Amino acid sequence: MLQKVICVDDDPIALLLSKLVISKASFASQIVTCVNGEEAIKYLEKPETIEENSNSEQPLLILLDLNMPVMDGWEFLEQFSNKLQEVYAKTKIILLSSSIDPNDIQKSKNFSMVVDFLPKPLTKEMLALISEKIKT
Amino acid sequence: MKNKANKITYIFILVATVFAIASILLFEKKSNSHNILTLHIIKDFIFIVFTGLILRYFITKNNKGNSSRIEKQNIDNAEIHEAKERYDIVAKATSDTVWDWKIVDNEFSWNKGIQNVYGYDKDDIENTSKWWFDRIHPEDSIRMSVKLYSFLEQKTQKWQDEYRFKCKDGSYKYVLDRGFLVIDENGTPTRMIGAMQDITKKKEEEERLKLLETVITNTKDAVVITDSDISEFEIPKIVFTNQAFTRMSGFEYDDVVGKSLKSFIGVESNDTEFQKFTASIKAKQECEIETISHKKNNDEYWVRFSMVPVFNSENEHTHWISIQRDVTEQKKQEKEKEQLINELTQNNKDLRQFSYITSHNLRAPLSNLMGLLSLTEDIEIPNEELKLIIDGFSKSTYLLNETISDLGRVVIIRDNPSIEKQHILIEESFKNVIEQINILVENNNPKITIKNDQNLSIYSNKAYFESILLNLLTNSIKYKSTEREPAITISVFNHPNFTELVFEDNGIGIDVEKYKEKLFGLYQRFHNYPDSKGLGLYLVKSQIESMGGEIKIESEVNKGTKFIINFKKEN
Repeated sequence: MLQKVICVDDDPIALLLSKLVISKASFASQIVTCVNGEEAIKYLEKPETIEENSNSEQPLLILLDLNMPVMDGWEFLEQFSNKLQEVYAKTKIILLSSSIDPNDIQKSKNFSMVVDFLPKPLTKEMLALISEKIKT
Repeated sequence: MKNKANKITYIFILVATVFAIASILLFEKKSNSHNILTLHIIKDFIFIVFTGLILRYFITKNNKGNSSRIEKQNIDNAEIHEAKERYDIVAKATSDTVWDWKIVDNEFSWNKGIQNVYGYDKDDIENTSKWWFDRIHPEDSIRMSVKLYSFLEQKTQKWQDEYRFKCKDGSYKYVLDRGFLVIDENGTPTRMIGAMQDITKKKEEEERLKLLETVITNTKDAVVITDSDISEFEIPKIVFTNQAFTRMSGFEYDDVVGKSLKSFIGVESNDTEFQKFTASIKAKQECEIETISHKKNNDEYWVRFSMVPVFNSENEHTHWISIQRDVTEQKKQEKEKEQLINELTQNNKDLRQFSYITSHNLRAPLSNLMGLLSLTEDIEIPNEELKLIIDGFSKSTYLLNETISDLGRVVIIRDNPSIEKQHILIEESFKNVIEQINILVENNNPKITIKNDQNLSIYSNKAYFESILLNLLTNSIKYKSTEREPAITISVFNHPNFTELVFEDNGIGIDVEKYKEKLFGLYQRFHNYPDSKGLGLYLVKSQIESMGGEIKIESEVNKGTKFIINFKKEN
């Protein structure tokens, strides 16, 4: 079981779904939700989050939507790479999107911490797959 | 001669008679018998000597006259011979064939030329004017005769004519014939002498030049010829333009001849295109430019312009030939085309983006619905009515999800013609596909046979291939016949450039003739089946074609359907 999963999505139902699926599957002990990239960056920049992360042996998992207001997924990935990559070295990001644009899939490969690009909705079968991915 | 001989004879007879009479009279006076004999002897001797002397005198005189005459005749003969020789040489040199027509006797004679130039044998030639007339081309003969007779009647001063003269082999040669008339003291023409010159080559060359001239005159391209002198201007002076140039530029012949071609090109000296052009001119090299030029009325037009150097037989550069064409319309069309392409590309890009956004915006709430519904699966619903409602809700949502997914696939295929391909094992892909629709397969239990004795693989994109199989398999099961057990046969055949996969079922079939054009179209439904979205075959065709393959259908209503698919092999 992971210690913490951060779900970033502007769609409250999507967030609710992710939360329900993760908790039902007992995939993580703590689920944090953010409604856009900016909120997620702010959360990750908090000293207590950083400290908590450095103390944890488990990698931090972020389920990131792409299409969001204020700060979208791409901008989040840019800022994360620039400011937070070193601190969150173990962190893995899964892109969870309704986009079928092949350019998006291609673009996601430019970010080393992105381990997969998955279509919504999050299912328990997908959680099993994610477990496998973040192990390696 | 005869008169002279008679004269001498008469004089001799007279003198001899006088002498005889005188001697008789003399002998009568002094006659005595003993010296009469002596006297006769003396007289006869004197007579003989006298007549001998006279004879000698005449013979000598006559001889003198004869020899000077012979001498004169000899000189005349030599002169005639020389003249004839000279005349023959001249005739040969000018390739003239000379004829002589004695009009009164209608006697016609030819020199050797008739044999040498026109190929006749001596025996072929008849010495009448008819023979000559008969050999004149029918199209020329009337015109020629009118002119000739008018000359014979001395209505004209000179006779010279061009006509076609038949050779022995039946071909015609163009001749230029010039004649002279000999007239007697009464003013009647007695003789005509002509010199016929073979001008076939000249005529042919003339025809050829005339043809070339017609090309220059009639061509729609403007032709401008300039000299080669660049000492005065960067671009040489115009010596000729055709009518097309006048039509194109509005400048008349006299406006341009003698002026530098530069004035009519319309490029500025600092233009790089122009610099390239002048460099080619200096180097005497062919060149081609496209430039905006100005008409006489100052209207702009686009001209495509080439210059080709012309060299004479001594390889000296003498002229430039410039061919020019007004390409304004073409340029306009090119520009419009370019604009249209840009617009279309932009539209296409916008539409593609639009389709991705639409797809995303449809998929986002749909995925929520799908997620929420999947969560209800684990929840016990005590209310039967609510259970039914949620069940219906669930089915509709899944169908909607499938449609949206298919549409998304179509968008991706259209957008990505180059996709990753691999060698796919047919049996393995089949297993994957059957797993995906196992409920449908279990419920209908079709008899599936795969005939692949050669263990052939298909070179394709894996996801596309499985999607193709899925669609075909689902169709076969959906549209099975109620009268028989469903059976599906897949056969694979090897071809030099492609692998053929034949997918055959024994279902209800499609009226191929009726739906010919629509079979693989978008949103086409041929059976009243609740799940049919009208997308399957369109997607299948799109996927196959995006991989460079092709699909054909054969079907008979109530017997079954056969899809023949060619997959291109790896290059």
